[in-house]
Amino acid sequence: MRQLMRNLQAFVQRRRARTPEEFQVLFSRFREVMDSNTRALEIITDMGDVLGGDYLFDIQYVRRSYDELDARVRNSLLHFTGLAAERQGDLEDAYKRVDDVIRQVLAGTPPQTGELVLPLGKFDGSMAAFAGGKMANLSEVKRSLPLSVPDGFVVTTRGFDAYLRHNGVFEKAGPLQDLRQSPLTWYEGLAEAVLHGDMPPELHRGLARALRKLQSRGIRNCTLAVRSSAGDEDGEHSFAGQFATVLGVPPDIAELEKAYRKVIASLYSEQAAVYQQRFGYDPLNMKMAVGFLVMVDAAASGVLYTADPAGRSDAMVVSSSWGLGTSVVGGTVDTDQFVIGRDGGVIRERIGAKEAMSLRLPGGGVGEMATPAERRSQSSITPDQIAELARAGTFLEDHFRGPQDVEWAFDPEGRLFILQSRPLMLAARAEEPVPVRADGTAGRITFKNAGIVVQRGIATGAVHVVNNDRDLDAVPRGAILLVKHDSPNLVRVMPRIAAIISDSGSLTSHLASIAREFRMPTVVNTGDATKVLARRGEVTVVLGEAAVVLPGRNAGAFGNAPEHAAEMNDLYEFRRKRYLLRHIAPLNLVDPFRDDFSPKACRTIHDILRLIHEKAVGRLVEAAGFGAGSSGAVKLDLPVPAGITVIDIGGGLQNVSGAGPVVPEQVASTPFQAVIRGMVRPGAWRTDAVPLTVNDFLTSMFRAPDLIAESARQAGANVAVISRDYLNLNIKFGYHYTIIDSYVSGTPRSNHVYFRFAGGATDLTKRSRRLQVIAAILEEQGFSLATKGDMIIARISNLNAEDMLARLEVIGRLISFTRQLDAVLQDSGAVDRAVAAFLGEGAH
Amino acid sequence: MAQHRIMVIDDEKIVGDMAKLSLEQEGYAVETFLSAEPALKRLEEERFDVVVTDYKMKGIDGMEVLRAVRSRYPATQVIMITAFANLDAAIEALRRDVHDFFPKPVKIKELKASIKRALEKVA
Repeated sequence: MRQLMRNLQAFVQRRRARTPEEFQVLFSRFREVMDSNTRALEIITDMGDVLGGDYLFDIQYVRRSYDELDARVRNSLLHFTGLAAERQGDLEDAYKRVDDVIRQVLAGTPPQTGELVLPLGKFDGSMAAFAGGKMANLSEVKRSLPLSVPDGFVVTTRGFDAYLRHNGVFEKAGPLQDLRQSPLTWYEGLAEAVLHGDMPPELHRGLARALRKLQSRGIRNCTLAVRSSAGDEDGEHSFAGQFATVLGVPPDIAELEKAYRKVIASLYSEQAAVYQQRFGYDPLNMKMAVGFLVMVDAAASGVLYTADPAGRSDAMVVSSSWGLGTSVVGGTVDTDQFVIGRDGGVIRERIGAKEAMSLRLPGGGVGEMATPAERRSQSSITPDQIAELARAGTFLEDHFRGPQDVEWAFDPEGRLFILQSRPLMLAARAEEPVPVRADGTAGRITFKNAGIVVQRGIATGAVHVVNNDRDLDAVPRGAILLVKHDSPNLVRVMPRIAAIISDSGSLTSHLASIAREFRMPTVVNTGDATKVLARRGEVTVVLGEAAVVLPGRNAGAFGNAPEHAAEMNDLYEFRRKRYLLRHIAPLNLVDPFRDDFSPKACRTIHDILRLIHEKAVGRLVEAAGFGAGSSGAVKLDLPVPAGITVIDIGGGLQNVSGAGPVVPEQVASTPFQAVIRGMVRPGAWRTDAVPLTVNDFLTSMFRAPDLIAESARQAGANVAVISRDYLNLNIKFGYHYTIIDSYVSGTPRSNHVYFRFAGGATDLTKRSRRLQVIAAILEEQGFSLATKGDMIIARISNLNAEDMLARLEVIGRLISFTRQLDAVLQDSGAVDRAVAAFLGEGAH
Repeated sequence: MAQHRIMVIDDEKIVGDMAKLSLEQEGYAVETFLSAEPALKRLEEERFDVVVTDYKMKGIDGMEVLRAVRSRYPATQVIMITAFANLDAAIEALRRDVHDFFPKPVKIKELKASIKRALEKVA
């Protein structure tokens, strides 16, 4: 025990500066960290502006900016290491990890290392270039979230490269001439070469090994879903339903390889070619990873959008059907649809007819059957399952920091599996078409259902019915397409049509995703538009909050149709450069009290800067805790008996002569001035509820033994370490122990206030009431808070000097105010009264 | 009024792509080139009102483009953009009667305004 105490003491000594001079050195390190971080964040902001679409920029700008940013981060790390007085291995590793990814993007070359096959759950989203966005996200869910994901593995883009190289696919297809002239035959050649190619031996071995491992985990009678995971490095396009998926593949290596070929060949299908051209992807650089997932025996499955894609509310949207989810995402079945609150409560529901359902066949393959009559009118998921989906959706949204498009399934035991989670493409904010004439919607054509508007907009043109994919070739330019089911194959004609109207379908289908990406006015689920409109000739489609279809060319009755304007984001090169920002600008480490503030959690440069900032402040708080007996310490004479000793480490005091006490007027430290202003403010040292005279009360408080502080440090332990911009104040009044650490300069980003309040000898109830009072006051001031037992920690940063100083003044008042609290907090109502009294006085 | 024709020459595809997209939104006809040789050839066939060219390019550089355009097609205005703020280049370009000179990154709004002024000169 004694040894332990000695160790602890040694530890504390090491962490603490022993003299003001030593602290001065640490403090200069701290300032270097803050200055570097500030400059780094300025560079990040500048990059965000320039790469935001308002500037013409080139790669030189990007490289130059990143080099400068890199130098600042390294400088910050260096000085933080000095401040912490120990190597920051984990932080250095984290930075190297992020920096490596960025340098790869900058070099424009995909990573040169990596496995051909990776087990699901062993990698995260940062591997998107290898595993494709879809599988990288799924693996991250499996690894980091309390949600079930099927067992499986991924053949990486490196495996894809090996396959193409081994079979000389591009050589066989011949050189790409002009993409606009005759692209399709060239794509067909690629697809043929892929379908009839051989497996490279190393890929064959990798697949066989992964399959054996899967089976060794007890999954013997499974079949697999083989799904595309395109290496779309920017992840901004869904490619929803554009590539092949092979379901019900038996666990046999030859079958797996056959499915693999089929899936990667779909990268070169006609519809995929159209999609790639629309968004400027270079077919020579497109890569596809492929996921092999153990199929869930789905009792019900579907899609969850964690936000309303039309952006009307913060509700979630669920589409669900019996059996496998193919019919839901394919839009072929009239599904159950639920609009649900974030708490899982159903706001609106519509039970679909669900005529057919797909099931996994035990021997392999997937079968479709008519849904038994009694189950058609029955909801395919229970209210409990809906609530579970809402919870899962919230997890996913929090984790990936944005609305998600989630594919899910419940197995026969009611267990939820996540099959996919990707960013939800929200509808382009088209202007709401508004009738400009009073008779704007007179004569509208009505359908069986009101229809669901997937993408707003106005279009006018001749209707054209498409019954199956073969009809697509005959679709004339400018047509308004009428379809029974919303099929993702429609992408083939999207560049040349004006709008889409479908009988069935949902807000959550693949077509819906793609229609939003193409900004194609689309309404689904009208019930009978193909019949009603078939012989109408020209119509005008006005899709806003509701869908309105008018006979003839009638768009003039409405405000100008929103232009089909191309956007910067449609430029591949632009997205590729901006993609860099994803590893730089987003902040994942937001709240030090809630998020995992560790090097491992850092995913961007911003995260690393944030972590360094928090740790640097924490280190400074520790380091400043040296005794009042230090050289250069002077007493501060205040009109209140606070007994504070001041140590000036640079510019904190002015007009000082000799070692005598200083008065508040001599304090030049702006944060300390603010705290003093608060402490000595008239009224701060009394409340009417205290039945003691001010002097009696104070005397009793300062006489009380200090149970927390080390006894040697007890006398005169109220110490303020100050500079012109800095204050570290340790105060022990009676049983209370308060630390304030603050840096306030002209640069808001460098500014912080750290406040810690602990201790108290009263009974637990009173203590917790006291914490409630402090928490309520600080929260009102915008601090973020954490409480732990009888301790409260509050932080605020990134405010301008004026706002910071105002908060420091409040804290000064609070220090005085809380002295008296325990005595008055006799009942819970007293908490509210105390807060009101405090805040009320602040208003005077 | 006939549609104004703008030519953009930059050896980085992204610059031409972004310029084309944003200038087409203004109603201009825009053609982009990754090097000066084909661009100068194109100028022989078609009149352009404004040429926006990068300064530093492989082969024929922006200064030569400026010289060629100003001598052969005096009605065509030239706007030069450059990766680095290069004072010497700017002075040289001004002497050769460049309409405007921008260091990259170029604010698209400013480029548009500059083109508008150039077109007033042309008119």
